[in-house]
Amino acid sequence: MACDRQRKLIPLAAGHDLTAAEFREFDEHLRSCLSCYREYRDYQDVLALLDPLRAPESPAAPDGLVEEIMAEVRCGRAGAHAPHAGSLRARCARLFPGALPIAAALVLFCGAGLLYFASRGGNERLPRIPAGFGEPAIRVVHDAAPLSPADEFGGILVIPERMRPGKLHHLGPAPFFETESLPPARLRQVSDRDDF
Amino acid sequence: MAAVSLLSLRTKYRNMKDRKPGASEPPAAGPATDGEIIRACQAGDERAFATLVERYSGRAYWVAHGLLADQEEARDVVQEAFLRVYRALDRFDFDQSFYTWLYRIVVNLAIDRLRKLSRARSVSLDDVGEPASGTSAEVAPGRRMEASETGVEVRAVLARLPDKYRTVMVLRELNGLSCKEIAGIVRSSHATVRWRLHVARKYFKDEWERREQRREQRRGSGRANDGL
Repeated sequence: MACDRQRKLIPLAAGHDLTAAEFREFDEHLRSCLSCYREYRDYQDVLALLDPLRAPESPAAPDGLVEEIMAEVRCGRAGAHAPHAGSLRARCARLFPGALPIAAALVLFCGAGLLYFASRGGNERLPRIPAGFGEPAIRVVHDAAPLSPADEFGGILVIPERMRPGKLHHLGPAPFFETESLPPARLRQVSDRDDF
Repeated sequence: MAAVSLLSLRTKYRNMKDRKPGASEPPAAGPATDGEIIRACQAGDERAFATLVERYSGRAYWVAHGLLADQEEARDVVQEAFLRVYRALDRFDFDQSFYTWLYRIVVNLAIDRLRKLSRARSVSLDDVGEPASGTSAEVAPGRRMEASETGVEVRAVLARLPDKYRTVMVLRELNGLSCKEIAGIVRSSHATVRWRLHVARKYFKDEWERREQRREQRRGSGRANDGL
């Protein structure tokens, strides 16, 4: 069991990546296990193949690399993005101090206004009629005269002046409702729709 | 007992070769710290950026070359990495070390480049068994090694490792970074890096031994043919 456990540490031990505690335990085990010691030696031998490829203590850049990089930085792709020029946000902040909070407040105000407008039915969307309710179950009254119960459509939809998009206000074989509050243009627009 | 003494000798030998790279021991190429230089760059001092390039381009090149094993590709990657650094210097996070940030960019660019290259050309381990005349001389950092057949084979075995294992092998074995430093570069935990290193060394050893076995078999069959 101990051998299995220590064997798993061999790849790390060969590269000196054990903690001090792990190394003490491993070292103790190697004293009594020739098999693990051979495995450890094999790992070290194989890893030693990489030694000639190791970077020197203070590797120098290849000839001309620093100059190439600096040339690129000066006039190449980096030109428009120089750090001292700053990001677009930083440059705007320098040119128009205090403009950023005002712009943000303006955007927030406009957004809130749009939301309010939409919530009040400002986009003029018509109420949606659920399918299969009746055939047809709804009709919009064109004038102020109430329909009789014998009306062939059997029901009236009264659309309030302020409609909420997607919301059905009154539906079905309902009692009559006056529609005087609806402007004629709105009435026409509603009644011309195919789904009415 | 003999085993133990040999072990300690080998340990000492390896420890002598181990270096402490990067931020824990910044290169003594100038009196200013990285942070001071970066602040100067942010203030528009181009010469300060040149200092950073001089300080780190050599190491960055070795990291890129370790992963790519190609001189020109490594140069391109290092150039691109420094350009990206330059563009993003005004957003530099002073809580992290510069070299970790730079190495991360270099590693990511090198891996991207490797993937593009691997789509364009697939390298077979058997293809590099016989060193081509152009291959052995192309790499400046490992020239002493790559002049030999063994060097080409070692590079080929490294190239067979999956990206994440090759990355930790290159950073640890070739560039001498600690597991903790590597964890910062690859944005993983210390335990993950140790595990990857474990797998990578095992993979490397197994692959090398398989290659040795194939070579032995070839030699055996060659002798048999000569005997006939």
